[in-house]
Amino acid sequence: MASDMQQPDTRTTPGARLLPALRRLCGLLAAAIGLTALLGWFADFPLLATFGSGKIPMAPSTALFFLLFGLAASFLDRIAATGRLARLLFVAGAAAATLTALLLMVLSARGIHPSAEYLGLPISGMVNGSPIGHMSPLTAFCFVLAGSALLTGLQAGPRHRWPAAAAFCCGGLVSLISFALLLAYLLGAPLLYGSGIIPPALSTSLAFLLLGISLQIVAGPSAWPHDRLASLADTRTPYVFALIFILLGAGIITASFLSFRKHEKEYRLGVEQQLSAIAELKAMRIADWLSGQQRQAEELAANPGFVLRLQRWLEQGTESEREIVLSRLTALLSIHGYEEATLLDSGDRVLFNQGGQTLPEELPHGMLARARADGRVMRCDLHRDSAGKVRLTWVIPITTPPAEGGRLLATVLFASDPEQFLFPFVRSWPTPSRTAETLLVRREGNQALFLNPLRFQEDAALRLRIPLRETTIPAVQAVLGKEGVVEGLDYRGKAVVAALRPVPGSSWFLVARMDMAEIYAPLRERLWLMVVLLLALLLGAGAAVLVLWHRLEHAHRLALFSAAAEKDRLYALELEKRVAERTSQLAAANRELEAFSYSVSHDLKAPLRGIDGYSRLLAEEYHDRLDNEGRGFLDNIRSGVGQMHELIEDLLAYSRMERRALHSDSLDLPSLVRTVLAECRAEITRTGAVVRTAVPAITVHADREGLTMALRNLLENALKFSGNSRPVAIDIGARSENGTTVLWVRDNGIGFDLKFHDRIFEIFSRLERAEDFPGTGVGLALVRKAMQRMGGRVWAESEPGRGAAFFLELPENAITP
Amino acid sequence: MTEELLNRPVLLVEDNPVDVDLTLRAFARRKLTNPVLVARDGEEALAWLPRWEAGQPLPLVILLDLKLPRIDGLEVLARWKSHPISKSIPVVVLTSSKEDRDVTEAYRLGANSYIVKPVDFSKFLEVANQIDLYWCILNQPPG
Repeated sequence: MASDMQQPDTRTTPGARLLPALRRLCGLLAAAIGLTALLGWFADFPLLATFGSGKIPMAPSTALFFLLFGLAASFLDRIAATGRLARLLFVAGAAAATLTALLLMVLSARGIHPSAEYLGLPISGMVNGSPIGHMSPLTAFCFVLAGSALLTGLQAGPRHRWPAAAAFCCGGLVSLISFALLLAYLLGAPLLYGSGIIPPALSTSLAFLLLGISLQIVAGPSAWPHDRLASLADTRTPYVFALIFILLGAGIITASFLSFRKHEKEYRLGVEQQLSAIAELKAMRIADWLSGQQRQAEELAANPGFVLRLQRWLEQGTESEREIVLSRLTALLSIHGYEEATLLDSGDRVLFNQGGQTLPEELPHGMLARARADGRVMRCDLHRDSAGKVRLTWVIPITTPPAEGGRLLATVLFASDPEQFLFPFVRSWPTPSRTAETLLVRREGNQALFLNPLRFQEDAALRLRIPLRETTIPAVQAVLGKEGVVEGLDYRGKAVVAALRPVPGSSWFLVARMDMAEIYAPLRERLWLMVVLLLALLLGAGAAVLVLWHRLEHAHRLALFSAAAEKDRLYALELEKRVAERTSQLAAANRELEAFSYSVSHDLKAPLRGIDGYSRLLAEEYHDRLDNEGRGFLDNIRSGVGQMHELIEDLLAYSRMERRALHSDSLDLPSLVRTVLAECRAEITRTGAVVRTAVPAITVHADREGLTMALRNLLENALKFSGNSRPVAIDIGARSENGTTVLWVRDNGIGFDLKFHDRIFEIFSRLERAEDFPGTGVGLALVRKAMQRMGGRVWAESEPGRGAAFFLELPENAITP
Repeated sequence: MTEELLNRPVLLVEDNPVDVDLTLRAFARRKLTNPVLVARDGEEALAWLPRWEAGQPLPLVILLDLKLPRIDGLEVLARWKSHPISKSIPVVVLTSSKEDRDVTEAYRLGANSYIVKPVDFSKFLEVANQIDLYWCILNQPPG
């Protein structure tokens, strides 16, 4: 049955109710995010605009745009329905917003950031090198798309597919971009951070996703062909498919997220291990070197020959020993690569100095005294000398052997330039790196002192100090005793990962660190790739799901169609069978009826003949034996018989009219009228009626017998109901118009009240008394029946006492058998 | 010839006694001198065939009702019109049926005339009058 294929009313199906609600919700949420951000700015609570620390916040201009666009997308349908003025205002507003966004995009891409974007708020600062409070060019681009979607979406309608498709595409693009941005945020490596372009904030990306969905729904239903939408609405499979897609998408995203995280962990672990190894290696090596140097220095103090010579020189004044000692010192200077050698006597007077000017006053306070007191070689930690050079000085007190009293003879100071070995070694890094660096720090008071020249700050050595409360800085953490791998900000303020080790045998701490940016650079690349791949996968999955769904829909519809066609065919067959049955039933019924009326006619009339015959014979042959009354009785009997006969005849005619097959004859109206007049000639003459005919030469296609009978009946009625008018005037006319032919019989007889119009055509219905006007009441019923069967109709116009006019209308083509 | 004509009967085939009586009275009014023979049903009607074969005078005209018991009037008509001895006898179908098919069938079978019996006795008298005038006086019967 064809009714199976009719399109259901899409306004009442659940799918159609869901979409506008979703659109409104998404639009309102987007607006809400914008409003929240604005409130955050005005209330000086930037977290509302950021959704997380360390991320760039949504600019006030962006927030305002979201508020406006979100509301517009929510209430687009209301605006469209309100009126022309509202529409015009909306179009103007949306166009203005879109153009502003375009302008901002161009400006921002060129690096120009108008302070109007602050909306009057005091905003300053940067995140990751991008100024906050300004709309990202990518955001501006998305707003241009959103504005276009709104403008074209307003035009969208079932008959305007192109604007709807454009709006859908713009909204879809916004959704896609925002989805990519959100993915990047999710995976921990947001896009565009650290590049020259201001990145879109997390809240911005989220709001764009919602706005994009809302815009797509604005145009979506209009962009889809109507019948697709109908089939979308009346089956549940689209929801199933949407669910499958969402699950698939969620699965893909989760899998890639987990994989990325794992990879990230492994990578990070590798980097940390590398840093730790380097730190360990270096720390050990430095410690080794230090102890090596220490041993070297101690050798001198333990050298008995040297001590003896020195003793001889200093205590006994042997000048020749002086030369030997000094040349020994000079030799040691060059052998061990010391920068300076100084010899101090027991009173701290400089006896000899070569290579520089390390004066005792320059040494850290009490160092000399302590060395002498301990009698051990002490290392004077890295310090700057009077010339500003960094030096590592060994204080070697030379004492007489304990057997001789153990008294201080002299102090040798060897100062080495850390640049000889220490600093280059510290500086070295096994692999080429942009930001990796090793630091030596030591504690001084409540500060951490940087000991070596820094990669990014040349003369920081022994100058840069950082208070120990800045515990985010790895150097500080090292000084405070932390070992291992930490994250923090370095002296430049950049995020770093650092491996911390104390250098054994010294008060130094080694920090081997690398910028997070450098660490994550390869990861970041991988992330870009992953996001692209993910999007492609999702799109592919979506497309596959769509295609599959389309195929299924198609097959489903084909099945439905062929099922319907099959049903139709079966139904048609069934119908034919039934029709054939009914026809034969009808035919049988007809035949029965004919036989019935046939025998009725015959059997009813026979006794009538008897009654009439004998009453007549009685009247004639017993005439003289009857008085007037008797003869009157016989007259009544005969009149009764006559009526009965007429009734039977009329009923038979009525029944025949019902049953008989119609013929479509080509009838010439004038000649038909003449025939009927001829049939009624006797009566016409008897009443003296004047019959005028005005029948044009019209040919009708109708049943001859039927039309003749109808006309005859009307004429007989006209003659019968003539009343007292003299002369009886009857007009017969005809006219052909608009494919119908109208034939009328007008008289000047007694007429009738039009309120009986319908009743007079009923069978056996009479308006006049039987004694006034003879008749069976079947005549007009016969006429109506005949006209009905011919596909025409009959009606009358009349006024009591002013005659009547009866009209017969015939259609262009009569019913053909 | 005229005498022979005067003696040739009129055969009335009618089952209804009332109709028979009225018809006879109608002809009596006409002062019909020809004998009127009556057959009350189809069998009786056909029984005349052998009699005619035997030499009995053929009727001037047969008045045949269609609704007869035993053998239907049309059947009788058919039999008469196919029998050599009787097929040229004029048959006037005198019946109350006005049905087209009866009329058509009767003529097809060879009826010479078809008259519908009026209920009105005056009209019936007129019919009898006409039959007498035409078939018994005017018409030249077959020999």
